[in-house]
Amino acid sequence: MAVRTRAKQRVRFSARAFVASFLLLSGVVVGLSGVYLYTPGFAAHIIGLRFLGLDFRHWAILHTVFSVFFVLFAAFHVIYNWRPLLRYLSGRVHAVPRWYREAGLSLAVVLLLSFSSWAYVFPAGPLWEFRTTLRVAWMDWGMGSLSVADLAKKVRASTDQVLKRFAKYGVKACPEDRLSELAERVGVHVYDLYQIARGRRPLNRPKGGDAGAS
Amino acid sequence: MPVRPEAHRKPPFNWRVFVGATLFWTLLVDLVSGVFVFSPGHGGSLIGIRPLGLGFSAWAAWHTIIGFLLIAVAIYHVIFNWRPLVNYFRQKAGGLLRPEFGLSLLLAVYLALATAFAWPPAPQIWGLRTPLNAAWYAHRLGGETVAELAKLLHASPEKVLARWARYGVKAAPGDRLAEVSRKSGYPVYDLYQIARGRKPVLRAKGRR
Repeated sequence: MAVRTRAKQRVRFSARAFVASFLLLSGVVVGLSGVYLYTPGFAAHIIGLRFLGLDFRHWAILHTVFSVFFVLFAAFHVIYNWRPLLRYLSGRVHAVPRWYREAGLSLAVVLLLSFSSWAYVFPAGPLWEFRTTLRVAWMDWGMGSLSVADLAKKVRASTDQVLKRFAKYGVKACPEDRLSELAERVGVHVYDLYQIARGRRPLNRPKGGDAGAS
Repeated sequence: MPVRPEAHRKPPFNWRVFVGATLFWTLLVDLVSGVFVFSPGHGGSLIGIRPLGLGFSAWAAWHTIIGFLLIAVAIYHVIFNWRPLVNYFRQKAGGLLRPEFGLSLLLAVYLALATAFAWPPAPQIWGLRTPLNAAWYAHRLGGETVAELAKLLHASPEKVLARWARYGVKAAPGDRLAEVSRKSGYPVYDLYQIARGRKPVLRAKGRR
């Protein structure tokens, strides 16, 4: 009888285990896709990078879809673990002061990070700006072999228009010039050339660039 | 040396509670900020939609930074609960994986494939952006005139009116967008898209 009961218990589906398992799996997907959206992020779209066969938009959809399910399952996870959760919050001697201290400190950490995100100050500011450093590296890697004519196609402009924009910064180039070589010649990154080609301001000014260009 | 009574001893810092609470706060922040990054998103920032006074970049930075903290505390949460978690995955007898884990893996794989091949529910979830965007744009632009919209888009009012005319929308530079929308039947979001030189998304089969 006891053996049968144990055997029955083993085959019973545990929603708690299902929810916890899915939370772990979806948490990994949300985390990894989030890091991918942080870097290379939109640069993946520009350089045509398709990591695991998915483009930037697909990674954004993947992140969103898994996040929605993650939040749903997290709600069930809290419901299934309500009793141990309550035990943390009440019922024990010293439990209340402990809870206030730890939860208060965690709230303080989250608020501090939130304020630093809104104000772009340390530690959130540099961490957010680090995206640009990574984006520069991705663009150097992904666009270095392209020619100026290819770049013009990427930014949906004519080659002449791009060459004119380059000229405003004192960059002399031909349509066949490789971007990596051109960037090295004028002492900037490929990302800077891309920005100039788009009519935007580069992070670094090319050597011998025209001061009037802005 | 006298032993301090139990009641007066300061309880040690409970890292499990700290991690659990941080997980809760970070998840809450990322959920709320995630909604705003989802819609109105980057486009909203271009036309001056600033939920809670924050632009897209601030929302995205907040979402990302708190997301990094969420990942860190989630790792600790898994470490602290490793034993019950392993019991969730593994059968007690034989050491095989539990069917619950297999089912959750199947669901995760299906969702990944659904994203890649546009199977339900991925397009439906992603498609929620359009009605949300439509609501944001109607709220922000409904009271603006055609001339003001043209200024936002760095275009001339004539250019905007010419683009609308191709879809049979007639208006004057001083007309309010809500009124143009009511007369033409195109939602404000579609008027905005046409003004940018894009196709309308809400009333895709519009007159051309």
